[in-house]
Formats: sequence, C-alpha cells, structure tokens
Amino acid sequence: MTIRWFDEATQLLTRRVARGTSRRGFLGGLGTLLAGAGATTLLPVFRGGAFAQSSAGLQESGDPNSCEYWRHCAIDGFLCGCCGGTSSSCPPGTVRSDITWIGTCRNPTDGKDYVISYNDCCGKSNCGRCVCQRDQGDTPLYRPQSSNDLNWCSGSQADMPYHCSLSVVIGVKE
Amino acid sequence: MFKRSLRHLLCGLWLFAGAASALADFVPEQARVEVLGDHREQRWFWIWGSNAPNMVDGRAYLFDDQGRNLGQLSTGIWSNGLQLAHSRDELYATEIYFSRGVRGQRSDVVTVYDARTLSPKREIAIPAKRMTALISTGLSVLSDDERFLLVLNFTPAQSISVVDLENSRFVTEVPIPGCASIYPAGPRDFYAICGNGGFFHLRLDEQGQVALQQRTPPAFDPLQDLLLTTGVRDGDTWYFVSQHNRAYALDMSADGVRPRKQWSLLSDQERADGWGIAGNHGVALHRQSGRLYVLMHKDKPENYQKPGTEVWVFDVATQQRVSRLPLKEQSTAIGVSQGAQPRLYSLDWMVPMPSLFTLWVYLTEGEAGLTPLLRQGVNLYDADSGEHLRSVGDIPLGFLNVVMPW
Repeated sequence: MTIRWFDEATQLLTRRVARGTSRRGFLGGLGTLLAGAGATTLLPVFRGGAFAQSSAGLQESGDPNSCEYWRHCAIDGFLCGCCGGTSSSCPPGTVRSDITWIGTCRNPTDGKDYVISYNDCCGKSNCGRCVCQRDQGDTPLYRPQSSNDLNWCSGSQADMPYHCSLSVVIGVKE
Repeated sequence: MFKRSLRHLLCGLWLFAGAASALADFVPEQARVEVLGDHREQRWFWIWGSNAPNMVDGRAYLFDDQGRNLGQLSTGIWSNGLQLAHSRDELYATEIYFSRGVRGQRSDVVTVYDARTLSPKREIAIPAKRMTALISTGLSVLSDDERFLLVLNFTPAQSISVVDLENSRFVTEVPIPGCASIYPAGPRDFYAICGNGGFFHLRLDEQGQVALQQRTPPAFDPLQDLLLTTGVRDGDTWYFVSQHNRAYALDMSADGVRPRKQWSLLSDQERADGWGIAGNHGVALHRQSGRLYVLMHKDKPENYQKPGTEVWVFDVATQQRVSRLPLKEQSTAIGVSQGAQPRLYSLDWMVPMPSLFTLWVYLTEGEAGLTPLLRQGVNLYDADSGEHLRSVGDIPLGFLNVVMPW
C-alpha cells in the first residue's frame, strides 16, 4: 500500500527550515533509482515464501522501525514493526497479502543489493504509526509490479482493508 | 391610596403590554438544512484523498471562493474521489463498504449524489473489484456525454466495469490485462494506459457493450521514461508529465492515439540543480490560454511525489515556460479554474506554528517531533500573476491529495 505521508512532508518542511543541510546528490539518487529499476522484471505473483523466517546470514544494522532503515527504500505505508509485527511479520489478527510490489535496496552493512517484497498486512483499519514513504524505483499504476501507490491488500484473504506494510528480503542481487 | 393603586395598576398594564409586545416580536428559530445554489461560475472547489489513517471514513470537502466550507460527502473506504457531472446536477462516487466496517460482506457501489443537497439519490451495484490506489486520476471516469461511468478494477486482474448512469445499471466487465488508468476520448471511446507504453482502446456501443477493443502501438518507451497517470485534457489532446521531467501531448480520439509533441520541462542547468516534478496530483491546465501548470521542487529524482515549492507555467503552443510561481507552503496537489481570471488552487502540508517554534521542535526532537503537528490547508492564487489571494486552514487530518475546481 502506500500513503503519502507526514514524515515525508515533514522532510520537506524541515528541509526548508534547515535548508541545505541534508540533501544528497542528484546523481546518487539517480543511481538508486536505476538500481531499483532492475527489479521491474519481477511480476506481482504469489510470494508466500517471502514470509519464511529471517534470512540466515543476512548482516544488517540500524533501527527497523525508522523510515531510513535500508529495507524500506521503496515502501509507502505504516511500518508493521510499529504496529505489533516486525519488518517481516504481520501484527496479530491481520492477514498477510500474497501479492506484493517489490523494490531493490542496498544494504549498507554488506554493500549488496537485495530484492525486497513489500507485502501488506490486511483486515484491520490503518495502523497509523511510523508512516514512511520512499519511492526508489516506484512506477505508476500501469506497471503495478513495482508500484507502491497500489493497495496490495486487494485480493488477500481479508480483502482490501489496509493495516501496515512489511519489508521482506527475498533475494540478493549477485 | 386610590392614586397609588391606580399607579400600580397602570404600571402593571404597561409592563404586561411591553412583555406582550416583546413576545409578539420574537420569532423562534427553525433548525433547517442548507441547500446549495447553482455551482456553476462560482469558483467552488472540492478537495479529497484517502483520509489516512482513517481510510474507512473517506471524505470530500466543498469550499467556496472565499474559503468557506460549504459541505461534505462521505465516500466509503479508501475513497477515489468524485466525478463531477456538467450536464446534470449530480456527482458520482465509486464507493466500497464492508458490512462490519473492515470485514464482512464487501459491496461496491456507484453512488449518485444530488449536487444541491449533497444527498445520495441512488446507488448502482457493481462488481466488488474496484482498484484502490492513492493516485486517483483515471480510476473512475465519465464518458464525454456522461451516459456511462467506467470503473477500473484490480484483483490483481485488471478490468473495467461499465456502468450505465441513464438506466442505473451495471452493464459489463471488460478485461484489460496489463493496463490501468482510463482516459475518455469521446462519447463512447476510452483509452487505458498500459505497461508497454501503449494504450488499450475500448469503444462501447449504445447499450454500453464492447463495440471495439484493441491495443495501440507504444506511444512512449516505459524503459526510458514513465508517464505519470495524472493527465489533463483539452479536447482531443491529453497532456502528461513524466518521471524524467518531460511533458507529453498525446492526441486521443476515436481514431487512435497519436503522439503530438513532447518537450523538456527543465533546462540542462535546472536539471543539474535538481529541479523536478513534485506532488501527488501536480498537473493542471487552463484550456482558454493553453497554459500547463506543473508542480515542481528541488529534490532527488526518486522524490518525485513529494510536495512541491513552485508551480511552473508552460505555453503548450510554444512549449516555453512563461512563468514560475512560488508557493507559500509545501504543495501536494494543484488545480486551476477555467474561464477568465482563473484561480490556482494548492493543497498543502504545513505546520501551523511560528517558524521559530517549528525550528526549535526540529532541533530538539527532529522530524518525529514535527510529524504530529503537520496539518493540511489550501492556498488560493491568481493563476495569471501568481498573487496569493487567501488561505484556508483547519482541514481535518486525512492525507488529502486532490483539489478539483467544480
């Protein structure tokens, strides 16, 4: 799912307040955008395997409930880790979506690019906590496989009520 | 003694007469319900959006040119806004409801609202498949003669539901695999934009059944640049902007899709400086003057949907920029009224506090401290000069991202 959100608007607001203190390079952003574009060849298919246990051997650091956490580079929604779940598990009583949008994010700990499945958790009203919007590699609705503007609870067992979003590491770009 | 009694009597009579007079003048108020006048030529405007984090309670708000709130529609869970009829005093909302709020039986309906009472007139049941997405352009569209309403579905199979508004009935469902947002191109022709850069051409017959369906050759290369779905229209020509900051003019008619022209919104220097498109619905068109309004900001390319700080105005005939209009607040959506002396509407995010307070909160608590303070508002500008006219604040929280002149 996706919600254009407060913290992103806050980013811009605070950018105005503290102008020039946090802007990254244009080329850097373009590079990550291009990296994300590589993921568009994947289709929105059943990714139940994405809910396996945490990937063995994956080295990562940081706060998973921070929007800046590396896995969230193409997310748009409420972070499930702030709603009773984790970045790879849905909160109690919700239903995971089986179809997803995907992104490609660079893990700063090992410098590798990983394919991230942004499954939604469904069946309850919006969590409303830890809203996060980042659009690396985001595409319009007519290329849904990498669009975070869509409600990916559509078609889930709980139908379309959206609660929060996961960032599940499902592959590594060799 | 007698005199004194007489005086008391007269005094009492005077008081009684006065009280009776006062009672006679008093007219008790009667509680009533407002009814709107004709919305045409009034410069009224609507705002709507997902209403997150309370998406079950979708809303659209109506304001007049002075910023007075005239009324509201409640439009179900994960609203995709309104379709505003011109030939009838009606509004249409494609709504989703569950019998138990967020669970139970799902029902999707097209609700027909009276444009003067803002009350529902009737409902038309449609398949429970409506797409729910945050960019609402093209998700539900009217045919040019306003006979049919087309609704985009996503289950994730992609299809279109055809609704006959004249006979209040669902007609048929048309699969459109690989395609999404819909653009009307005449009374019976429509185009849906597809993942390969082509369009799906759908033509209906007089009963709303499929008369023709075919795919056009690609009109753009989606591996090089992606058109945003927020197109604006003048006759047969639709204008789009792209993720790589270009404008595209596409002619869409019963005869097909014909790319007419495209141009860069940026100079090389502006591109190097980080300028780019912004906002959720950041494109508007003033048809009479042929001016295309595009919301812009300086940011990373991946932040192309983040709020904008300026509106750049382009002459679509010459493809030249004619002005840059700085905005008072961070804007997520713009709209422009038609006719003489057009208004530019900007739907904004803001912290309704003095700048020093905002800075202090940011320095002491960071962004997390400011997030709960963010509010939305609307600013009105003269669309020709960019002069700021007025602000509308105190809009209930709910991630609104469309402003639509009525």
